[in-house]
Amino acid sequence: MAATFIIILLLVLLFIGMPIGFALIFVGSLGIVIVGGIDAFLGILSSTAYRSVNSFTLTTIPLFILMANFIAKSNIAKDLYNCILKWIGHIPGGVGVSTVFASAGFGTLSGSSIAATSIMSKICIPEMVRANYKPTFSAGLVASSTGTLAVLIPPSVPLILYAVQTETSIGKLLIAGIVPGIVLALLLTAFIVLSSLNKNTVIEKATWTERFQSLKFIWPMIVLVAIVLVIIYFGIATSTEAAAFGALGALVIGWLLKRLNKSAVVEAFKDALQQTAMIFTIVIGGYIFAYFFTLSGVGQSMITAISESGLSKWTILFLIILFYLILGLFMDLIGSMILTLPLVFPIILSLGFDPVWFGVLVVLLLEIGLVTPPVGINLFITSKYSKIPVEKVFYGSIPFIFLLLFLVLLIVVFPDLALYLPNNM
Amino acid sequence: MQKFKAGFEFVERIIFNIGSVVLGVMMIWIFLDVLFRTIFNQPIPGTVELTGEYLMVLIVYLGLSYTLRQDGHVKVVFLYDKFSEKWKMRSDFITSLLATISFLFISVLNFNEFLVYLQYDIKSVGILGYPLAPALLLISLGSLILSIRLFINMTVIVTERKAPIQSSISESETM
Amino acid sequence: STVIDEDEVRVRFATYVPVTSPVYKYVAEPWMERVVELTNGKVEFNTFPGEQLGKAHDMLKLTRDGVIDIGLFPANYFPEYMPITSALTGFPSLNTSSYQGTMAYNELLKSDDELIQRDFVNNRMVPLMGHVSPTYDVWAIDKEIRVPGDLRGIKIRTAGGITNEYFSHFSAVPVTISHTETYEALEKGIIDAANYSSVGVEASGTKDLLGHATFPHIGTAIHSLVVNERIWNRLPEDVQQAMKQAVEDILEESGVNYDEETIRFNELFEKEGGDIIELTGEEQQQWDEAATDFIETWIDNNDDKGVPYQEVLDHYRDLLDKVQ
Ligand code: NA
Ligand code: NA
Repeated sequence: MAATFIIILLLVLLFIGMPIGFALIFVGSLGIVIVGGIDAFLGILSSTAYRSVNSFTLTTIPLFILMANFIAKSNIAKDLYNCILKWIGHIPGGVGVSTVFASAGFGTLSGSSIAATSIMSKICIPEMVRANYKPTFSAGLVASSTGTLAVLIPPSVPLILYAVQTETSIGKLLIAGIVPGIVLALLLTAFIVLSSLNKNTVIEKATWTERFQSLKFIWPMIVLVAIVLVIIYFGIATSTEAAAFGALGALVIGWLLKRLNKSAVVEAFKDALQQTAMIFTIVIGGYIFAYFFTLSGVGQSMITAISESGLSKWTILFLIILFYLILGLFMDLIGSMILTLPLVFPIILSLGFDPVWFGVLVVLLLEIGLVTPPVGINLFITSKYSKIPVEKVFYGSIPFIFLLLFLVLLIVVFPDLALYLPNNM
Repeated sequence: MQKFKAGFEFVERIIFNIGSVVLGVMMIWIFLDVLFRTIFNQPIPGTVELTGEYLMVLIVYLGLSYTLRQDGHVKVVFLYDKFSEKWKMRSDFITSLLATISFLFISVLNFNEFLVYLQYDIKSVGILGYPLAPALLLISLGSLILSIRLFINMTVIVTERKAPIQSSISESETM
Repeated sequence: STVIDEDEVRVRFATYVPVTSPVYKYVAEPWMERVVELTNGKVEFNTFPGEQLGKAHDMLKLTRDGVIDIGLFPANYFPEYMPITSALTGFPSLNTSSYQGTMAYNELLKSDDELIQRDFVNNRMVPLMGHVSPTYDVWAIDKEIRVPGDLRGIKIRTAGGITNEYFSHFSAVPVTISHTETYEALEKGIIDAANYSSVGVEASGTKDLLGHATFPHIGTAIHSLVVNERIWNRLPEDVQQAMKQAVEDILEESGVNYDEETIRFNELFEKEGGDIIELTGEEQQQWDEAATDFIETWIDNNDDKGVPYQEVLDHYRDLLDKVQ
């Protein structure tokens, strides 16, 4: 009863525009007072604020965001896109495929879905439209897949948060996203090429000189990726510490190439700080809300109901997948994950599913939610930067959402897509 | 009131800038820690503890208020955007009020924790063993600043008859 | 939520470990089951394992402040609140097995007023039992550590606290790495060794990375099972009795089971090519002298706090000897 009231209140506050983190903190606190009493409220509120940020592992979030900011401000992503265009832009589907490759490439440096989507919306959609792609199709592609590639391919803010919350190995989780990311890029490529065969959506063929010349602009990108990879794979630093190298590397490279001036650097820091404050407000609110939910006993009775339902493990998994797709309609990725994992993760473990595999699956499922109305941040961002109305962006995203669902199916049927690398590294 | 607001915004910006500097410090610190460990087999003592126990606290809590001023806290706007100006004001006022209450509680409770940590002289788990109480004070301060920011937003709604935050997706989200 | 009547008692039990961990399997679960049995189902536990209501380092506060009614947490996380138990946890070369430590510590808990006052009454908690784990030792990737001198320069993962001081004392470099990151840190050689119990090595999944184990018995973990004082005073007397009786009933086995699991893991470790170093009498003596030296220095350094560390330590040692 109390739980129903609290959840309805949460939805109301979210829909009248209360920032998600604030709404979770307020509603969670109120819920704790109702179901746990004043003592519980005071005890939880006075410890959660410190405990939810106090972790070395979490330093990787602001630092990877900082790295992405330096890269965005150095125009490195734009160079990468232009270079790929020169090589394959003249082949049927080439411009669209360039968008996929550039997104995947940028994904190796950005761990944030929102960051990747906003940058690629600005860079890629105008080019695709210029090459006669429908605005709907172009915007749908970027809205649905750029962010997904960014969070599957390491680094990945959501996978790091998942690791911290479930005490799963960060190294393994990050590596687990690689193959699904590549498979997604291939699926997108195949789909774009097939749907472009009879259309005039190519750009002028670049000369070989132009092509090779364009390569010289992407070496900063390659150097940065190499730095991070070498540091992680040669055991110089952990994946947490690698974020500091990535950020510093991006700063130094941007500075040496004169792509970053003082004000751009300052801006990058400030934007990173705002992003961090935003993410952690949701993290804190998510914890408080989750404590309420635990105290209310609803979670426990749900788990009991599920484990005593006699349903097969696959039916339960199907219900969980459905649950995350529905949740994704209304909630943002990080908030949903933090909110639900304390409940769902024990079920997954008790059913004998692999925690690393499930991490990849959850992130993918919630990423779909970022392009579905009514709450879909990537939808709004793509619309804002491409000036294409939200409903058209969504309309254009529908075929790609089916591709993402197909990827979900592949990962469920062939868990090794996610698990081969982490189990054999 | 205008004077208070201007003064507050000055402080708010300085505190935010300190947070940005700390982010830079953290980047270089972790880099040097790895460097010293690799080259001299001697990591900087206490890096793992200090980054979590202090630097993360500074980065998150000093950034809270200015982020709100820039409308950097993610929210759901599909319905909100369809509201009339009057209803936008009303809902902004209510949600700001509820958030103010929450953060004042967090501020007061963490100030109380600060006193408890002082009383028991609670120290870092790491080898350096420095006191942790100031970290709690920082959380209290950051939450207080945010509460004041929310309060100022509410007075703007009442006195200037306009919603203090105009854009629905802010530039800050471009990271 | 909490209900306490003459004929119905429903309380919140929380701990930081998941239900699959040995502490849960050998202490929490059997104890709760026994209480339910002894009270014929009058007592019902709402259980919150795995940090569901707060992080490990807040467990004491959550119990003291009444967020939860009964808590199970390691004393070494709270050196300021539980000075005596956390010191006993960190001192080297005391107990050699979980059984021995657990039996002795619970005798201490019944008879040592200083311990009860400072670690529990001052925190408004009523102690039911303390579970002493098998000892934490040195598990290294490739260095054979035979004597304390071999620790010099070794980067070793610890859980923090007095153990850090121990390793620093012998010029090792203690590093506080989270459980989640220990695997990666060992794999990459960021640390050379870990200060774990055998069961801890198993839980962290680092068995295949580690080559040599040395067992000088450097500290333990003592998990305290405590009840919020206000809740305790409201419990009907028969329930209080049942909770105490349940401790008596599971105490011995909680240590024995843990030790058996340790032996089983150590055998597996050796079978798969791991090396458990046999210390010679002379080497063992070096560790013992080092321990005595360290404890003496430590107690000297902490003399100003007014805690009778030496007296309690002597008392604990007597009790440990009796168990043997
Ligand atoms: Na990425
Ligand atoms: Na959605």
